Amino acid sequence: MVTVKYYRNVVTAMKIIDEGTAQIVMHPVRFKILQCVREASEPLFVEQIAKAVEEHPRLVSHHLDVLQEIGLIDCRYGLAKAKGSARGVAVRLCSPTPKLTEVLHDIAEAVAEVR
Amino acid sequence: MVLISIVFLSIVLGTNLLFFLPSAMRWALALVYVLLAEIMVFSVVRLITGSAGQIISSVFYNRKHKPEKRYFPEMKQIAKKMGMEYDKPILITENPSIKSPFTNVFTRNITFPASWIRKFHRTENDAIIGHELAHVKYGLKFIGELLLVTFVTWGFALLLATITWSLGIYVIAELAFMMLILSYILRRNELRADWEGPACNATTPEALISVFEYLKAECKRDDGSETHPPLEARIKRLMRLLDSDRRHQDN
Repeated sequence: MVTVKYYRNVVTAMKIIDEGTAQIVMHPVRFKILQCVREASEPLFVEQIAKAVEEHPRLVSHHLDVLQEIGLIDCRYGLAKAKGSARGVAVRLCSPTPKLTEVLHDIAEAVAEVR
Repeated sequence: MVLISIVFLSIVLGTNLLFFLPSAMRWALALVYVLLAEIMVFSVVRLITGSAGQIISSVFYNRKHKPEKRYFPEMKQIAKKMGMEYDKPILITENPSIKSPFTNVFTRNITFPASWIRKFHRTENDAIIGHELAHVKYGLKFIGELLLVTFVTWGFALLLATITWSLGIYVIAELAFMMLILSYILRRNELRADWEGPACNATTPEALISVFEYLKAECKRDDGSETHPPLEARIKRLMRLLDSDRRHQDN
């Protein structure tokens, strides 16, 4: 996951890139969420992401709205297994988009330049 | 703050030992208050340098570079939900010395650095506007509180004058007292502004927390200042709103 040192590099790199999308990604929690969604083998729902990034589900939901709006993640509703429910519960499943891969690639390049 | 408190307490304890001095001398020192009142005003200005400095800087900068006036689509709606009228545009400035948004409570102008518009999402900018609008809403109340601080400090100074003869002690104790009480008022004003937007359902607490988390990551140390509480404390306070739908009752 994201280390403080890596994040500081990203912050410095973002000052060079200075684009709207990159500025949005620069947020520490959003960055963690993006990494979490990208590394997952299957689409994740809010509670799972909140647990992974150790943030409040409502906060995660806010960040997912922002990330979905700029096209970095794709959200759809589906069924997920839940304790005590045989049929599962309706959840918002999030998966990465090709744009996310591009943006993270740009960031990695910018970080490499800074280093 | 701890250091100031220790200095203040030690001075007060010290002044009590001087209580047995001739009363004429003590009362004469009370007259020096007129001079010390000037020092008090100076200390007020110095304490709010964070915003005062920005206002002064923007006055000079704006002469050469006119700030862009922009109406945010949600601004009127936010103001209405907060129970106030606000139809002024937000002043967007490229002034590099302005690092954060601020409100001039006298002119009711809200100034936003252009970099903040770029780096925060629309909903987060709305939350910041909600915060600044709360400063406008409570502007008069805040000015009243500042005046109250002056009078309370004056009362303290007069009380101090009856028990001490040392001008040095008199000045230091008075300023230390004022710094403590003023810092409390200024910090409370910020917390009130944080709470107002989400509490009125005008903005979301998530958006404001998101802004604070970003700022916390940007700064090396999160100690707060005389005017602003630490970001961590502000986030924790807003977190209470996330778990509660009874926003008004929680404050």
